[in-house]
Amino acid sequence: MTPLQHEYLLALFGAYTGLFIIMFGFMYRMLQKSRKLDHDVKLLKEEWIGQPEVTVEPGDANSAVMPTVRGQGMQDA
Amino acid sequence: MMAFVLMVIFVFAFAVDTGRVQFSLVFPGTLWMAFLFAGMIGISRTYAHEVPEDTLTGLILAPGDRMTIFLAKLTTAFLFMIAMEAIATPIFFSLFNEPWNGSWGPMILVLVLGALGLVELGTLLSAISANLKSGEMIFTVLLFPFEIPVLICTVEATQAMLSVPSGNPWLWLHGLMAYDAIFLVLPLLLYEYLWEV
Amino acid sequence: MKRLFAKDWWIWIVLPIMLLALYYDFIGSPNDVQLGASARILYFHIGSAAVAGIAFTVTAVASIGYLIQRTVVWDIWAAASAEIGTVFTTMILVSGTIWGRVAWGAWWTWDPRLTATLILWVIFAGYLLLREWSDNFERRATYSAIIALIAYIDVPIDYMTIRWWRSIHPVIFTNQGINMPVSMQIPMFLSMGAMTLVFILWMAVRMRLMRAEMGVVDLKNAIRSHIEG
Repeated sequence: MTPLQHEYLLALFGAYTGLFIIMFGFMYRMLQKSRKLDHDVKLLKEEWIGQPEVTVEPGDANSAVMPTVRGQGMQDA
Repeated sequence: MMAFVLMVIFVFAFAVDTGRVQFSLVFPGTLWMAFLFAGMIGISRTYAHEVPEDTLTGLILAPGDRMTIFLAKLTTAFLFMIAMEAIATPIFFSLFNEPWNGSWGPMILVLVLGALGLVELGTLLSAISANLKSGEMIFTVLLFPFEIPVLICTVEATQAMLSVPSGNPWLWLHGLMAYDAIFLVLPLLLYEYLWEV
Repeated sequence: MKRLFAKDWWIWIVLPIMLLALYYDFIGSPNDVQLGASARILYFHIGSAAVAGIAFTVTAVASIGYLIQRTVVWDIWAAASAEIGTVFTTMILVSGTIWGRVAWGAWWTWDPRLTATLILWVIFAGYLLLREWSDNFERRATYSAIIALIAYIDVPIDYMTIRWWRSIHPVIFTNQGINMPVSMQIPMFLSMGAMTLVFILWMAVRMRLMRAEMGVVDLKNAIRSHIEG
């Protein structure tokens, strides 16, 4: 094997090693992301369950006056 | 479709300088390229005009086998393709001064099989893309790679027929037949699932 | 560094195996008689081809499963496997062009094998675009399953191209056995095994992420139906 070939092989080895390290880095990121998503979903679920059930009385207010209250004028809610 | 293929012929006449290039070398490729593009335009419309008034739902609800809908769509698209090819091929030959020295049988066979190959998967993909947000784009992106075998076989067969002395187109015609058979059966097997969403 | 190994430490087990296989491929094993040093890329090439074949087969099987049973799990399997298969097909194409430049003197030729592989890559790229661009979950799953099944036809054809047609691509696995000395078979199977491990690991990781994403969607739908209902 000539020195040039040896360098070529070393370069290829380095390149592929880098490729796989990057690939594993991505996998690690994916795992972190899924862990974070699981965590967020769990927190949101707890918050959702813990919330007191508030029934909003459908008052007489016009939706233009109180846009956040479910009124008679609100059709698209 | 017809207008489109005429425009393609027109554009090719300027894109390739027939005076300087030996045009018969690229003639089969040009011919099938034009048919592929025209077919793509035509086939993508197969289901598109069902969308605005949602007539497809009516078709699905109609009694009878849903297979017939697919086969009817396929036949329509196929007949349009054949009609377009029947008109455009003589125009191609005359406008590019391509000497005709082949035999009629294989030429008609390659036109029919090529049209069938373009239409079969095209109809299935058209059904998929009609229901999607960026359907037109997906139709194009998916149809082209699937049609590459058709393009290879038809171009090679046409080349073999038109070259002097003429070669043997049957190898490519058999390949085309195999492709047509596979992609006729497969959509028929899978088509039923398209409706269940 | 400590954070890196605290959780999910298990994914790092496969990395040394893979790197060992790479080291053995490129430096440890003996040279090929005719092709010299350049033949070593072949181990990696065959390994990624094997993984791509496995991945697309998994996609096809999962697609059939989805069309029959209509459960989310099959769709997740198909999607994850198709993504990984496409990445490994990219690696086949890249390593193949590097090798082809040395062995054939050209980066690319329109050989049946190369054409079939390129078609496969383009189709599965289209498959992934279809998944990316559609919004309705059930439609996406059904359509992509149908596309995957049509696309899978190309995989056996691609495998058989070099046996059916005259191709300049070398044939390793023949009916008469493996066309390769034992000293070259060891690194080949080593890299195949290591890359299959990488595939399994990646599938696990990717499917985990998809399941977490599905969890978000489920929660969203649950809240929406609670508010509306």
